[in-house]
Amino acid sequence: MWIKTLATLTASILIVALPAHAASLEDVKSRGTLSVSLYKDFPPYSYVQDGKQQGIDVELAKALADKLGVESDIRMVGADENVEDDLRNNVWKGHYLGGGVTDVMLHMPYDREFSQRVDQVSFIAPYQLEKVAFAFDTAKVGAQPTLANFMSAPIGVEIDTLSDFYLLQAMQGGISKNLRHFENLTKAAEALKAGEIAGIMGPRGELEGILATRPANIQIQSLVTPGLARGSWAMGLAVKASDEGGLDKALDGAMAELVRDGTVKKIFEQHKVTYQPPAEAPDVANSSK
Amino acid sequence: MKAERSFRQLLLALAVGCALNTTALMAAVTDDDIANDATTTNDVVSYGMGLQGQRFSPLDKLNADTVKNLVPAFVLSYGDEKQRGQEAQPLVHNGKIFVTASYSRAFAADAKTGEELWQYNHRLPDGILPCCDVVNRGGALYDNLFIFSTLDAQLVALDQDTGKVVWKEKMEDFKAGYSNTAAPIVVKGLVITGVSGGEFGIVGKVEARDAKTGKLVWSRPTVEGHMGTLDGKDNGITGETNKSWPGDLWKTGGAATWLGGTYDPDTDSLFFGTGNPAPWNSHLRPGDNLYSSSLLAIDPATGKIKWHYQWTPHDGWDFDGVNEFVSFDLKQEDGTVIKAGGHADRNGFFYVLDRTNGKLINATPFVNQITWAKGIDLKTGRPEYIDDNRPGAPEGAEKGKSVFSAPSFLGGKNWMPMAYNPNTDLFYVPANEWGMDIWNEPITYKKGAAYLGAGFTIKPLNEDYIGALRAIDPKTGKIVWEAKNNAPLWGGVLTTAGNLVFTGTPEGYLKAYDAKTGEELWKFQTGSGVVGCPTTWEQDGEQFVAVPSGWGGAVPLWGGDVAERVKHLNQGGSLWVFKLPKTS
Repeated sequence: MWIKTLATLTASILIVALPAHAASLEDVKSRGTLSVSLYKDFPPYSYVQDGKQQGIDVELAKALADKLGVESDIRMVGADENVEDDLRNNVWKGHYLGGGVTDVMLHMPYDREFSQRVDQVSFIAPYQLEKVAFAFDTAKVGAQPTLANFMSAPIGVEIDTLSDFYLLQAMQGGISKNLRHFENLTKAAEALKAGEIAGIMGPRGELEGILATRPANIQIQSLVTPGLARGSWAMGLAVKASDEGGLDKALDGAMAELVRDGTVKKIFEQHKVTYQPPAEAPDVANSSK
Repeated sequence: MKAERSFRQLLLALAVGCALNTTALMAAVTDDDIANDATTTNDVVSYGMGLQGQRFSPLDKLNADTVKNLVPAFVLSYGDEKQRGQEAQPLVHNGKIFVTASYSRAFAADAKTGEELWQYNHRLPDGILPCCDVVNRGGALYDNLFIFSTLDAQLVALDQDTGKVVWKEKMEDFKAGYSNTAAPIVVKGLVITGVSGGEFGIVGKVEARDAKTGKLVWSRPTVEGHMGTLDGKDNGITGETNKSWPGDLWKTGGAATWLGGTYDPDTDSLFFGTGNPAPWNSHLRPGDNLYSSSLLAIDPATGKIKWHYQWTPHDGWDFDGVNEFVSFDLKQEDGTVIKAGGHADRNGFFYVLDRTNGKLINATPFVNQITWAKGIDLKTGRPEYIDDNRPGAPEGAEKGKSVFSAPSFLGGKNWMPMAYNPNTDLFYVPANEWGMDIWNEPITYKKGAAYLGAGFTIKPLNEDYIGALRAIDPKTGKIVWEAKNNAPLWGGVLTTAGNLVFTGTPEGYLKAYDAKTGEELWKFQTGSGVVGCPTTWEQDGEQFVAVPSGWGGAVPLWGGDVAERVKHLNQGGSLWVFKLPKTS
């Protein structure tokens, strides 16, 4: 069934009328709110705890709205099968079950090749470089493990991710029998803390945030990952493509100011996540394609 | 005086009570009604027009000679702007016609006049992301209930007279990616369902509930290693844990039972097909990945698997194996009869199995081009793969090898049910001729993170047609006749003792063909694409034919050349009913 949803990228048959016009800066200002889509259940970036929206992306969205002089209206959305679906559901068209679109979505890839495939949106304001990393238990694999350690020690991944597919075939499939699949990294982190697995492979920001309080025997760092298709990627904002309106430029400028004045760095640090700006990104080795 | 009045009132009350009870008794759909559905002509109380799924009616008033007189009786509009794909099969009982519609809606109308009796709009929760479109394929009738499944993976039982909810059961958590669009069936008082789900992490299952209360009786997971239950207790593991999967992938192996199933009383077996395995890249899961892309024969009383047959072991093309398995008598030349079943798979082969044991009798192509296998070995029952034509593994950051594969993943035949006519001994299969280029994308993104996905383009194989309704002789696998159609066929088939075959087209026609020759005898333009399942019954001496109209389903979601052929088609949402008027 996987392939069916990929195909919905090209869907253009819907008649249902949704408010899918690109909002202009003027619309946003006269309305007094910037509507924002963030992934739900996605710590440390966007999640609800104690009935409150929390996380790095939540703070960033509020700071952006603040710069524009409006309130933020954050909608927590489920992740569909890929980002193209998420953009269609939340930014340029709206889901066919209703709900409409928002002005902007955070945590979107900033990647030239990818953006050429999704011309319905503008990708702007890169603010972070995410990287694949490992969290591991030094009591089980030592302080300087390599991939080979996980040919004999169990390692966890979030199911259906880059890390999942990488480890299934890494070391000529030698790790696959030790691979433990989890619904999300929060559950993998619990298993790591409980000593059930020796490591986790996943995006560094997520690992650092979820394991913000961790015992000394759990460390997070990058390991050598031969053959990994993409080890890092830049994140930014996505707004519906539009020739005029100026919202893209305004958000781009707002983010630049937030980076310059240290707000972005501070937000990351408050959530115990290393802030890495996407200055050299995206991934020089791959960007020439 | 007072006493007398009271007595009279009591009598009246009793009389009224009895009358109501009698009506209720007459109206109630019994297990016998369902068991005899294929042979009774005044009602249609099950999906498949009989649980074996033959979609054959013994009615012959409407026949190759009289079909030219078939005229509309009424049309019922579903209203609303919710017009995506009407794939249901209507049911008829006690003078009422019942049909489901897209977005988990249900309607009841007077079967003769079309006057609407009630409609039910299922309230879908916010934030639902159903994997697989918003169609619904129909309901089941039992007792005074109309039972159907919803996009948020619930099973809802409505009162046939009022449309009010009698019971409602959650089948699975929609937040975990589960959904349901298939028609349930009722077997000996149990309502039997599968489950859909496109997200990773789901595992298919077949479940039985008390049809009167919705209470779960048994559950049978479709991936090896998972524990089944019966009356709330463990009931044995499906297959052998981790025999045909690497690592812990069996825990999230897919094999969704998204199209429901059939039942055969002769062997007392449920037949449910299963979907493709996860993850999508077959190179990451060496092994057969049981019981994905398979057929399971299940004991309806206990939920135990009797036997299985895997259509596409180690499926790497998203062929699924969910298409219906239709029980029929395979007549041998020496006059003996084999209890067999027929199945037209997405993978392009038409299979005939011995339905007592799952042994392969014959497998033949029913489409013109098959690239993934040379054939099916009749001794081993396994495909003879063409290894070069398996989609490749992603290698580094480069775009993976592009493979042309036919049929496309939409299949030589998709969900739309075929029909079997015991008079002509032919199967009528709504086939499509298309292939796909499929490759691994170097990098895509999922939940904001880099990811390895696949890209594809579906391509028609012929200039003049994609769809082809084909009459197949199950004894030989030979195609006896075909009727081509420009757009892909996406609707179910009905056949009758009147030597007729009915099916719809995306171009909006309901068509009738001569069952022996394939000659087109009649057609009617319904105003929108017909992707539903036609059905027929007799009422007050007149034969009726009903079919939903409303273009949608999976086909219009695709780009490329296929979309080009269907983009001009208008959506809709209505139930068309035709009748053959009494000759005066």
